[in-house]
Amino acid sequence: MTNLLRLLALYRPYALWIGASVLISLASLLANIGLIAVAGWFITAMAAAGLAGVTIDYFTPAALIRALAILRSGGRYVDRLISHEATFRLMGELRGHIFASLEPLAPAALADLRSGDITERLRGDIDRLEHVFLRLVSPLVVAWLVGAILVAALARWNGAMALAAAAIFLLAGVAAPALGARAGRAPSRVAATTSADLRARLTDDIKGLAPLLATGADARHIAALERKMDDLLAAEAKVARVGALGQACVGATGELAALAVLAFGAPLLRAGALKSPDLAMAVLAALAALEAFAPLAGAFGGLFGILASADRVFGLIDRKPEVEETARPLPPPARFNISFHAVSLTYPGAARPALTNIDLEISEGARIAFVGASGAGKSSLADLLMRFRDPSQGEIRLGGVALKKLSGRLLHSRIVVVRQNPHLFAATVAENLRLAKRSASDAELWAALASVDLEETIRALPLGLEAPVGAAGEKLSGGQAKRLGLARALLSDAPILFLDEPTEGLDATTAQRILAAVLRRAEGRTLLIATHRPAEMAAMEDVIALDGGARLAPKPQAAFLAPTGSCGLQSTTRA
Amino acid sequence: MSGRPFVTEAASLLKANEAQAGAALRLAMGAGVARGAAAIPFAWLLSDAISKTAFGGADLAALAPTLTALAGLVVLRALLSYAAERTGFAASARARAALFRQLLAHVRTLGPVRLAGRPTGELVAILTDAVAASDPYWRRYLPARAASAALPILVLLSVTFADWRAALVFVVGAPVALLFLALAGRGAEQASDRQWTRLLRLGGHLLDAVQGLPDLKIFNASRREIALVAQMAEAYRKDAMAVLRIAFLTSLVLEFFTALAIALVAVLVGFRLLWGQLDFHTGLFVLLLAPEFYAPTRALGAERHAKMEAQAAAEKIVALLDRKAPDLPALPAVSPTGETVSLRFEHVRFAYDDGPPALDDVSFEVAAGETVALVGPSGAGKSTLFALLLRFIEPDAGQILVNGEKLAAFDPRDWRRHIAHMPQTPYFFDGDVIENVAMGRDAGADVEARVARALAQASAEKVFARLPGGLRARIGENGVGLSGGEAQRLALARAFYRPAPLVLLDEPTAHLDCETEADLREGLAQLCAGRTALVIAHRLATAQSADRLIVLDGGRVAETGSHEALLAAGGVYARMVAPDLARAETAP
Repeated sequence: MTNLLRLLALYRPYALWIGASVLISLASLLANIGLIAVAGWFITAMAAAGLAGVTIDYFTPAALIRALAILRSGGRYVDRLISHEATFRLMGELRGHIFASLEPLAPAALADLRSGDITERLRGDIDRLEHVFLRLVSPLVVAWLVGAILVAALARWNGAMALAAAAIFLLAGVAAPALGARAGRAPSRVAATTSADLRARLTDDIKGLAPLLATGADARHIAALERKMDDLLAAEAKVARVGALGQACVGATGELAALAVLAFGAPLLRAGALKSPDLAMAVLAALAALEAFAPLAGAFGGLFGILASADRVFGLIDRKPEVEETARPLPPPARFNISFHAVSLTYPGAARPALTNIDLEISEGARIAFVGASGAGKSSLADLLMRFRDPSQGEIRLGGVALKKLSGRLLHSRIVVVRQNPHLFAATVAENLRLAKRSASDAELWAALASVDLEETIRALPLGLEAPVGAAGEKLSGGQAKRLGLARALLSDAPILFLDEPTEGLDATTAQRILAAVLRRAEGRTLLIATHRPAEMAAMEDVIALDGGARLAPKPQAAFLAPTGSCGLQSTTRA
Repeated sequence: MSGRPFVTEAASLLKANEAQAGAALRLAMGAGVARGAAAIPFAWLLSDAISKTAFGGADLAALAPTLTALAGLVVLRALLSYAAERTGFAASARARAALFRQLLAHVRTLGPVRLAGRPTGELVAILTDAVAASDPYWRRYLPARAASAALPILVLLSVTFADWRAALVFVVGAPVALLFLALAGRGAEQASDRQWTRLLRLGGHLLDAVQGLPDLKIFNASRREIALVAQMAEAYRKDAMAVLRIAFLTSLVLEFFTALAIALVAVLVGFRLLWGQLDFHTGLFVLLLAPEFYAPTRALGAERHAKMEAQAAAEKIVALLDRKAPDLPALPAVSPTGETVSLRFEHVRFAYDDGPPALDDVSFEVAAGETVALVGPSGAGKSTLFALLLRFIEPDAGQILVNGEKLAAFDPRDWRRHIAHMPQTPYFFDGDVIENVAMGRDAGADVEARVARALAQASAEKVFARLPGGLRARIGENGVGLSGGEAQRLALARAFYRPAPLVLLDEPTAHLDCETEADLREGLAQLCAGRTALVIAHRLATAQSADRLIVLDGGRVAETGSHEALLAAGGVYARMVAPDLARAETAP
């Protein structure tokens, strides 16, 4: 509920729009009721005059009828334009704002969420929030105002008649929505979570389609998805039932109010306290009041669906980043040597640390290979250098300054990491490359592509650099996508490069060529490579071995090049 | 308009699913019409009651029967309204469930390779949002259309019966109103279509941006992407407003004609009452029905928007359904049941959508029980060859024979049961280790033990011993918490779980350190022993351990033979492995 208030508070900059929209909406509804009511008064008065054989001023009511007719149609149009425009602007802003707030969270503070889930919050949930004003607040305020005005008008003739109408309006405008909201609460929640769950499962399903089909696990997945869909529809059916009930009750408002006014008015008319045109006017006005209350019926069944969406949206905004960006960053250090001082890292919920007590000195321009079994902690080092996480203990310094005291922008301009599976955006080859260097010329792009042995491949594409790579690089083969990610990093001017298994999955010739090009391009820069390849270890000045998150005692480099296992190349010497 | 044929296809898709909505839809239409029709006797009785009160001096007792009848009608209308809503939902639910199933099945038929170019978010949006967007079509639009067809005629007949002159006033505005509606409708259709495309793109783009956030951060490019997202949101708003403006305009037209009808009827009836040409009861009855004449059309106008959204959504659905799926055999042959599989490629050719052939005139044979390594530079067609064997794609030309029978004649699902496959980038589902290894295959009471055995064979048991929860540890989207090597071993365990006669391995020892690789090699030999195995080899050791090598280059078979024979031949292979061999010789 507090999130609903937070949401409404967001509307503050649009207060004027909102006020205008409510007023115009009220005016057009009153014009609508007035039109029918005056028409009723008019024909009754004309009939009475006809019976009595007297003349009557029919110009005034006829003009009034025309004016009300115009006000009614025009007012509704303007109101809709204003209220939708304000709401859509707000939702657009909110979407941008939330995406911006995700940036400091990624990736560590979002690790528990599926990307499909985050996307759904950004899109579907925000779309649902637009209903708060359009279908909830505005109709409710307007219905209450219309009800109050009608009751006040009836009270001029008779208190009991006004009270009866008030009771019916309260039922339709307060009791029915409140009950509807209560009854709709649980099923709406279920529907919202089921919908998000279905979406996340579908994302999982489509991404994993290949193993699903290959293993034959597909039938079970399909059955589970269809069951989820049935669950969703069942939850929606419950929401719909509440809505249908509300619709049926609220739909009777006008008719019931009209009957009540008639029942109270008949004795008054006999007593001479009410004239016949006035009675007809009152009954018809009450009947037309339906127009104000009808929109409430549907709104409240969905209230808790909207609230659930608000919770999910604000839940994302309220997350705390895993690393705090310093408010007053120190000036950029002149040097770019890196030092690790007794650094340990334990992932939340992990049974053992990923890194234990690491001490490292990496001088400017050093070339170091990190080796070790998978899970030894090589990728964690990269995460720490990027400040995707902070060490649980110890400190990392760049040019003698603690990473924590530098701005994120500065850090990322000094260190570039190529992760094991770099993300390629659903954009062109050029756009993906220019991520690293916006001003890069086409020639620079081709040069970067050439150094990862991709130039020919891209030149062969009809669109060349402008060819789309597809979602997550799916149009390229696995090896090509990886190399494009590497080319992107090579384009950047950062003085420190960390490449996480850059040539894994490539054949030896290609790997060799790429290594040579990387070494050339990294001239003067610090080059850190996590690798299993002896050729890459050999090309480095130093090899640092990690095991289970701890640094092993230094060994002569040659030791890594002639491993005792069956790995690598020594078995080829049998030839 | 170029999108025209699609519109009709979308319409026919919606029509086709109307059958699914079935009886519920007819009930919803019937209840809606009945509820609307009940307004006519209500108006008659109400005007009778007012007339008796105003001009007949009736007291409450005299009015009681009429008031009771009116109250009865109110209850009846409420009941009909409830029934219409419930049955309307039931109709929509049935149609949507059928559509969802159809799409889900179609995604399977298309397979991962054909869908590779589509962002996952976009596909998910089609299966969820597009299907959901069709809801108002069945739930509201069709019942509203039935009501708008029946009710104005009923109202008009009643008015004609009461006073034919008033009926003329009703009819006069109708053609003009319909003309406006038709005009506005056309513009709205285009605008709505554009908005839908944008909505889908927004969904795909957001997912892409969210998944790429770490890389955006690395390159200090998040600000640009944030601006881009804001831009897309803004474009989405503009399109949405364009659609709505037209929708609002149509309702403005209808509102105006309703108001006009009321005003004209009031004046006409008023003067005829003044001149004594009409009795008050009839006059009031006609006035009460004036708003009812346009009400169903107004309601339909409000739902037209829903219909167009449904239609635009249906177009996206049709576009997906229309994507060329392979012609699968209607009566598939029974896949080989034997323990062994031999393969024969005959002049196989395959090209992705618009590119050069990925495989061109590829012919080779693999004997039953043979282990063959596929070698070649990245992009040589090795993965395409696997995709063909997995039946994710079908050859453009040539054919593949399995034990001498045509592979294309088998049912793909059934055939895949004969394959154990390990891809280069394994994908793990949001679930625990057991689920991800067993993948629902022959899962019985002993599933845990069998998974543990498969993990041991893949040298992965230590990896999962360290995870909190062991085999019940959740490994989320993209195997969060697993390093590349761990993921590889888990994927291998998946292949070990149910050994199949044909083994397809995409560089199984990638990401593995030397000792693990050594552990694994034994297990791999065990997996391949006595089975037919195709192994994509990037590492020399992998290639060497095969019985035979097939070297692919530029989509063609460059050479085949044993490691030693190929070295001696001095061809593509010899050049490829030269650097590694040179290093091996210089190593101490």
